[in-house]
Amino acid sequence: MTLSGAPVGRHRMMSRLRRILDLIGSDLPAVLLTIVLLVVSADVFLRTVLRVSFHEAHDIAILAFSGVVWFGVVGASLNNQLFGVRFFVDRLPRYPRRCLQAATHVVLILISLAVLRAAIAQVETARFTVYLALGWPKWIVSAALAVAMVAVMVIQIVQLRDLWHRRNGR
Amino acid sequence: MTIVAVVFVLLLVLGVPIAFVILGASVVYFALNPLMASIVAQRMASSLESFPLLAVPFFIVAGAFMAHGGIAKRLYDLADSLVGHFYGGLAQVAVLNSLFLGAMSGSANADAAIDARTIAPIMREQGYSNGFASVVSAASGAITPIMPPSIGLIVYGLLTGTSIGRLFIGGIVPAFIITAALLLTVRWTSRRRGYLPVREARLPLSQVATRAGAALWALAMPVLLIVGLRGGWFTPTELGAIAALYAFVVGLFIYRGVRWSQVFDIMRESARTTANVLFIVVTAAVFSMILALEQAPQQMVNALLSLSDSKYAVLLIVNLFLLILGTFLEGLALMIILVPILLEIMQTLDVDPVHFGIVLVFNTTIGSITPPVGTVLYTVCSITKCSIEEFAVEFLPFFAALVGVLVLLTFVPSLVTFLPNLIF
Repeated sequence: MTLSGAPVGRHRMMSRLRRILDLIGSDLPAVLLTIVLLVVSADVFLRTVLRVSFHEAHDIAILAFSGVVWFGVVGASLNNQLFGVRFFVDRLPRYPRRCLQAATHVVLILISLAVLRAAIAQVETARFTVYLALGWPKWIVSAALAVAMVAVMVIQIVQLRDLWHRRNGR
Repeated sequence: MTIVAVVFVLLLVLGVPIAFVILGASVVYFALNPLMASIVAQRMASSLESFPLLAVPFFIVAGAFMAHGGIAKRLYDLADSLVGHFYGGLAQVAVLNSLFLGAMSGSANADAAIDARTIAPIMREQGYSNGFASVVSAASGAITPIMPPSIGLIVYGLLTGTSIGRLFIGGIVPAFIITAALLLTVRWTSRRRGYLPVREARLPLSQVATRAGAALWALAMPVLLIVGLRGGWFTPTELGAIAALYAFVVGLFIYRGVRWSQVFDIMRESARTTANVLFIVVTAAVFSMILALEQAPQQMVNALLSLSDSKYAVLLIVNLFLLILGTFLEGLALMIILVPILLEIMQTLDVDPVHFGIVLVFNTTIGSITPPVGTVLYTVCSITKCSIEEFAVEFLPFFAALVGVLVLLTFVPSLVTFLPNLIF
C-alpha cells in the first residue's frame, strides 16, 4: 500500500476490468456455444425420434452463434490468440519493435471504431427485418457486434498501457 | 483499389491480426464512399446467418473433447501399433495419427497443435531434430482438412452451393494418398538420418487388435458420419453437433479422460478458437464484396481464359497462383475471396466442383504450412519454439511430397470423384 493508496485501487480496478472482459470474451461465448450445441442436437432428436418440429431452433442457433463469434473475438484478443503475421516485427530490435506493437494497438482501435460506427448505423437503419420464428429484430446481431468492438478497443487500450509500463520497467 | 492493396500489405507487415488486416482494408475502401458505411456491419452480420456454418464450431468442440477425453490417446496407441516398427517410427505414428484425428476433427491447426504438444516433445527426447519434429507435426496437419469432416470443405461447399456430403466423401481417397506420401517421405528422410523405429519388430496381431478394441469408440465416429449422411438422419451440420456430443459422452463417461470441472474450460477454449477462425471468414466476406464491386472476378476470368482454354493448363496456372498467394495469405480468407471468382472459371471449363474443391482446399492447406506466412506454421513453431529458417529447410522434402500429391489430384480427377459418384 502506498501513501495515497492509489496504485492499489488502480490495480483492483484493472483486475476488475479484466474480469469483466474475460466474462464477455470467454464465459459468455462458452455459454452461447453450449446453447447452439444443445438446440441443434435437441432439434435432431425431436425431429428424428419424436417426429416433433422445433421451429425456433434455427433462429436461436444462428443468433447464439453470432454471439459466439463477436464475443469470442474479444476473448481471443484478450488472450493474444488472434492469428497474425509476427514474422517481420519479431525480427526488429527491441525499441522499434515496441513502437510497432504500440502502432498495431492504435490501428486496431481505429479499425474497431470504424466497425463500431458501421454497426451503429446498421442498428439505426435496419429496423424492419426480424427472425421469422422468434419474431426478434435482426439488429440484435449488429448491436452485439458494436458491444464486441467496444470491448476490443478497451482491450487494446489496456494492452497499450501494459506496453507503456513495461517500457518504464514497472 | 490501389490504396486498399497498400493498406492490406502495410497492416500485414505490421503484424496486425489477419482478420483486422482484411477488415482494415475494407474499412478504408468504404470510407472513400461514406454512403456505404454501414455495409461493413451489414455484410459481417449477414455472413453469419448461415446454418451450415455452424458445423465449424461443432467440429472444433468435437476435436477439443477428443483431445482431452482420451480418444486422441487411444488413436495414438493404435497408430503406434501399426507403424511404430518402421524407420522414423514416432514420426510415422504422428502422420497416421493425423489421419485418424482428421476423421473426427476438421482443422489442420487443431491437429498440428495436438501433434506439436504430444508427439513432438517425445520425438526430440528420442534424438529427432526439433525442426524435423515440428515439420512432421505441421505437414501431417495437411491430412485433416481433406479427411472428412473438414472445416475448409464446409466453407467451400457453402460458397459454391456444392453438396457438403459429396465433398466429404470425395476427400476420403485423397486423404489416404496424402497420408501414404507423407509416410514415404518420413521413411526416406529417417533412413538417411538414422531415425530408428520405436521397436525392432511388428507388434503381434493380438496386441494390434487389443489396441484397436480400446479405440473402438473412437473409430466408430467416422462410421457414424457416413451412415448418418447416407441414411438422411441428419445434415452434415447437424452431424457436427452429434459428433461433438458423442465425443463429450465418450470422453466423460466411457474413457473418463474429461472431468465435469474441465467441461466449461473446454467450451471456453472452443468458443475462442471458433471466433478466431470465423472472424476471418466474416471479414473475408466483406472483402470479397469489394472485389465484386470492382469487377475483379470478370477481369480475372478474362485474363486466365486468355492464357489458355485447356482445362488442365488453367488448373495448373490456378494451382501455381494459389500456392504463391497461400504463402502470404491465410487459407480460409484466400478461399472466401477467390472462390467466387475461380468457380466461374471452373464452370466455364466444365471442371467438377467436388474435384476443384478438394484441390483448392488442399492447395490452401499447403499454403498454411509454407513459410513465411502460415497459420499452421505459426501454431506449431510457437509451441515447439522452432525457428522459421530451420522449419523452412526441414520442410523441403515434405513440400515436394505435398505438391506431388496436389499435381496428382489435379490431373487425375477420378481419384476425387470416383467415390462420391459411386455413393451418391
